[in-house]
Amino acid sequence: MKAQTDISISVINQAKNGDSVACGQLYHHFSKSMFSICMRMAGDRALAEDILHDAFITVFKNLPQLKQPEAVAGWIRRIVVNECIRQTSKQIKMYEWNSEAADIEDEKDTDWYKNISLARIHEAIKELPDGCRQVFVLYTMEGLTHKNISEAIGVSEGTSKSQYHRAKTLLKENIINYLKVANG
Amino acid sequence: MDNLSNFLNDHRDEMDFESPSPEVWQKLHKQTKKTPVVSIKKWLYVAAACALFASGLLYLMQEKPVATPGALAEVNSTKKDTAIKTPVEQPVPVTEPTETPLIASNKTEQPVKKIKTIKEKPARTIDNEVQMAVKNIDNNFNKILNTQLNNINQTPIYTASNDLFSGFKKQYRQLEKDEKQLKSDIASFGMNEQLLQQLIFINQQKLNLLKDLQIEISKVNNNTPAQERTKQHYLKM
Repeated sequence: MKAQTDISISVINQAKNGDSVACGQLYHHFSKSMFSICMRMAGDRALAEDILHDAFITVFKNLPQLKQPEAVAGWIRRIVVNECIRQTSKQIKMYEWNSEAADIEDEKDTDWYKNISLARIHEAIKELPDGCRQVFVLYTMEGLTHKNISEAIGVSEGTSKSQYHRAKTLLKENIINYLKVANG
Repeated sequence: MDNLSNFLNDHRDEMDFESPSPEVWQKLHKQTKKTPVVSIKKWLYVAAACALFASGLLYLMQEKPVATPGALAEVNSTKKDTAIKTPVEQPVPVTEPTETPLIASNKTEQPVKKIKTIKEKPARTIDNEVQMAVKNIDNNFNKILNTQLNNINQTPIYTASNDLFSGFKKQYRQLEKDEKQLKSDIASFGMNEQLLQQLIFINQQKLNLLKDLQIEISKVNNNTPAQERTKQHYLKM
């Protein structure tokens, strides 16, 4: 991860000692990438800003306990993702989804997304319905398994899988529709 | 993991398109700061006080080699006298040269003039220095931002839709709005380190956004085959 390498260890150590300028540098260094996670998980700017704020409160509070300053990026990311799960799981509603259809969909899966800009994919993820959006982001971008997700948000593993397939189908539909409109 | 998951996982660091508003940091900073933030003005006052003290010290040190043994004895006795009579007025010779010259009168007047200029300077120049700093940041960033904006505005985009990049435009407008608000805060409350950082941060965000936009435009254009490049339009940022 690029953010990991270009923040100096001395800044992290100063932040650990409560130096407010170093804390500011740390925040500004990671705020963009962490906020993008929050936006994808929350789908809403106001909630995403609340999550980012609360996550960084936790970061600053627990920073003195960080033993490996070089692992700060992953450490902050985990705090942000946990905060996202905590604050968005309140709004998660899981809808029924036909998992057999999802399996068929998987077989037809092609590289349809490879010519789509990442910005468009990011926008389409934010537009996914609550529930399947969180499952999709946690699985594809945060590296959680369906077992981890089921434990984190309190659903069955099967539900997590089916919600992931639902999200994938909706994402594809959204982008294809968008391209149809964009290209007239 | 399927192909889509692998693809998104590989590119997740390139998908940092969102920036939080400066209010998030303002709120965080208020809640987490342990020591009060000393404003630039305060630092300038401290610097001015140090300069005043240093020039006073220099003044005293410069005079010693000039003084003759007789004069030194006179100085010592004068010092003792003033110390006994008016202990509170010890710094008086520095600020009011007309009273009790320490050594030969033709040498005492010069350093006093220096001190006077130092004393007058901070009050008039602190605000100017802050304003100049803000103006410099503005000018430097504006030059780069305008160059980047011109590049984007002159790049043809080969899509049918005008609002393909509306998200970027919206974010850029929001940043401009935030910057305006920040500048009005600076005008109302004065500059401090936190506001200065935010001003730089917003301008950096604007630059990053324009850079990302330029990359996205190139991607869209590259993905449009030459034979399909019938419609083109220009972005008005």
